[in-house]
Amino acid sequence: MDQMTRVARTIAITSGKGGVGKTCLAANLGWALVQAGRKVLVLDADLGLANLDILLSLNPTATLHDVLAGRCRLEEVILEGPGGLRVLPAGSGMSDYSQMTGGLRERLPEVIDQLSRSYDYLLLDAGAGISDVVLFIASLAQEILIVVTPEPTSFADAYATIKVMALQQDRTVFSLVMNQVPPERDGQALVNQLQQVADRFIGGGLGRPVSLAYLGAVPADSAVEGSVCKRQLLVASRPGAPAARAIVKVAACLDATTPSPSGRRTLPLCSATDGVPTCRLV
Amino acid sequence: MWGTVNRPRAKSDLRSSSSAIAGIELAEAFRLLRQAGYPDPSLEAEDDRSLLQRVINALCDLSLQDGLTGLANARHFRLTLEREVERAARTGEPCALLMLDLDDFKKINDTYGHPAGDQVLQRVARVLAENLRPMDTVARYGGEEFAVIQPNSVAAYAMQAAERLRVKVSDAAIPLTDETTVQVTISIGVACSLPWAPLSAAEFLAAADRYLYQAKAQGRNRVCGETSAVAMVSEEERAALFNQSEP
Repeated sequence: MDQMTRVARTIAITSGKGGVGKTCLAANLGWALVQAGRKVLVLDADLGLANLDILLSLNPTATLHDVLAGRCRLEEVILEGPGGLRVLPAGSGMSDYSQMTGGLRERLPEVIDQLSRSYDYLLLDAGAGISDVVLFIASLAQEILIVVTPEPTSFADAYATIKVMALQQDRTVFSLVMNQVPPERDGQALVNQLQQVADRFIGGGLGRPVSLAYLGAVPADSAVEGSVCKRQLLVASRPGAPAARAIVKVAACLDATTPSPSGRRTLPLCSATDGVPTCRLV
Repeated sequence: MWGTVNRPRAKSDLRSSSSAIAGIELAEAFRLLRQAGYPDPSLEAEDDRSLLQRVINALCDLSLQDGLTGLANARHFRLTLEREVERAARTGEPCALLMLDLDDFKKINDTYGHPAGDQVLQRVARVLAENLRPMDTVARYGGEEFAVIQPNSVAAYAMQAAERLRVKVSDAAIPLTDETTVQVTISIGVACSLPWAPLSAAEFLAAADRYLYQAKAQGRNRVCGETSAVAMVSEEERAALFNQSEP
């Protein structure tokens, strides 16, 4: 194998609150990046509520669960999704993994390291919120992409997620995608608002400014729901839909940015249960 | 027990000959310790000095114990909470606090009488103590209210532990008399102090109380606690987030 291997941009896709369209965005974004000529794998890391396989109409026989348990090799569980997008499914109902386990803690970093040598992009479809599992998975990624909707709880929770990850993982750069934006709302204005509050309340505690990189807005679009029901990828099946076009733009914007300077340190950060660097709040 | 056989004569003399050592009156202390079921401190004491030390130790111990259940009392709880909050801040470890309250306890007292109520409290205390880690502190906080301090515990673990306690308590059939057993349930509020958002002892208590109240309001016999990110956001930040462009 070629030793001049790639090093994937590892991006954890997360949100403060569930149900904001993370998984859907991850899959569609992945496909759009593949179309742009990148080699992309989406890892279903929403371990408690894994459903990427359902969304993509895949029927996995083995999952990440089997890899972590040492029952399967990594290559055996990677599936080929639409358009050549690679998918590592987690399998639904793995309630064991909604809790932090030793296998997860020890094996997942290796899995991600190994994968990052074969792809341009690793998209980790992480769960929502700030549970120790979500924070752990985020700690394994170089970059964090936060999906947020204009809905107040999603907005406040997104801010909380940024705050926790900035303070706990010493991160200063976050990518943002505004999802399900109704026509009358301005995604950019919402991001500016978040940025201002982050400057005032997080940057001080961190001692360095936090910057939010806005990748774009995806409009609320009934075509999204339609594609989910049909278990088809929106960007592939309805490329003309406003949401699909927006996602392709987001992908282009992501692809045009260079990996954030506050990328992963040599050692992945540990979970909330051990050795979290202490940070002072403002 | 106190004043029984097989004690070395000298030590027996020590206690019986004088309830005062070096002019310090100890009769009341002995009475208290005897009543609380403590072993006679003079049994092991080598001399006056060590006897005095043993009496002081036993009294300290007694002052931190709940008389009915043998759990830590409210004083002990407050001391431990302050120590753990301080320790968590120093080590950067997370820490959890559970507030537990028996549901409809008044009914038990009203129906079966206060001695039965006491039996229930004792049994619940035992169930709690048996289902926690050795490093956890379980206290009787007030009448039918208990509290648990869990050092080095994150929200997910604390919620799990709370749920285990809830199930174990509701599963226990508590015998009151030969004929009668009762079953009780508890509501639990779980708060966590996180390294990046440490809570003071007072904030910690207030947070756990708030969740306990929520558990009661939602119909009792349940666990409530923080599971969303939004707890990390202060009122001031919330106001700033929503002041200009109301999302």
